[in-house]
Amino acid sequence: MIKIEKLTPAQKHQLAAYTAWGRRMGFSTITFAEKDFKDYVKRVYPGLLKKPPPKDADILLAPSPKAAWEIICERSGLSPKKTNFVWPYLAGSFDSYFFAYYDYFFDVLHIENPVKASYTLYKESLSYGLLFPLDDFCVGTEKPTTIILDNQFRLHAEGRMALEYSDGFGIYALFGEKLPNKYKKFAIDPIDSLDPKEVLLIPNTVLRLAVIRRVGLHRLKSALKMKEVSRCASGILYDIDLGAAAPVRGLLLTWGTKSGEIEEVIQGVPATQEELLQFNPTLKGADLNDAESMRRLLLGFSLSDVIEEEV
Amino acid sequence: MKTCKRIGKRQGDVIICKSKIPADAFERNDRVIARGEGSGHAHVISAGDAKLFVAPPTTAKPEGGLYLKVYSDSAIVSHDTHPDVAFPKGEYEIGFERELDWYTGLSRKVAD
Repeated sequence: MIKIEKLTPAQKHQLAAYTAWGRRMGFSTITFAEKDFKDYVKRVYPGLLKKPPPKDADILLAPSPKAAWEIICERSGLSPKKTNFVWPYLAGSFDSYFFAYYDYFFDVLHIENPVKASYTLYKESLSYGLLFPLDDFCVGTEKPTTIILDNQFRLHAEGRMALEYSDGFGIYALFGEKLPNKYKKFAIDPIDSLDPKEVLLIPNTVLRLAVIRRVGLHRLKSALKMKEVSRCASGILYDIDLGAAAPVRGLLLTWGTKSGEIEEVIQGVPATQEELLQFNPTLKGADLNDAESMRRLLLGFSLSDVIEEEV
Repeated sequence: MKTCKRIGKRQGDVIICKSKIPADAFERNDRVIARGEGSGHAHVISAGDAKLFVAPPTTAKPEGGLYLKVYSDSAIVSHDTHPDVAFPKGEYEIGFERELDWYTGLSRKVAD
């Protein structure tokens, strides 16, 4: 047994190649033959599960995970709405990150692979979609027909699904954030047709952030007549016209991510002392017009508290 | 009324402040402080000897409390998009950023 304390320059250099290979395999939409899939399944059962494979007629290929799910539930007498997990499964091409990681250790660092035969058989699954090798039958899925990414390899598509299967099942996503179907319009509709008020009222902060990034903060500022009240190092306090009798208060927060991106989101803060009392009675008397006080209010801090580090 | 100054660090929507862990808190056997329901991004204890504790709900804290105890010299909390934050040996309370829901006028936990 050897302990590697530090990678050599050559070993470091090869990390990029394995990362690229993992991405290429994981984001591949190359199709496969049904016969090859069935042959693979017949080797997976004895090789990985240590049991005989199902009959040829019980090895099924579905166009998408949703279709596979429906087959599994129908054959097993389960309700698709009440079932959320099936075991065992292989993730197919989506497991590429796993193999890229371990291949690097085996190939580059020459760490011995103690389960080489089953590892090799498992790795073959990268050519296929999801695979559910159940007791009496096996269901696999085709690979996606479309995978669209942004320049940081995150699922991202405007005007269409970011990941789609041949039967139309897929995922809407902006900047790596999956949008539930009820919010799909924020990914597919033209920006000018989106209602800025609806954007601001998306309850999930990360989704709100992704949609604000697509729509553009400047559009929101103009459409919602956002008027600056005050500002601090990491935020600007605004009056925002949402069409109610009085404007609401929002704090625009800006920060940098690990990858160097600038993130911006608007979060609700109290506009009146009554709202403040409901929000956090312990911070009664906080200055509602002061951006730093309001920023700390969201964190449960007062101005006299000490925030040692913020990232 | 006696007021205590809070001293803490923030990583995204998670705030971790120095605080004693209540005697009735029980240990949790995982290292995930919080996981985004939609994004899946998680704040996790990625290094160091540290454990999470959960305190039962009280009148003052109807949602209960989440605590961090660091046994080693320091522990690291990591996240997919935020830089790492180090916490020296000690006991901490974990809080979450909140925002005002403009419709209801109530405070809600920032969800991701």
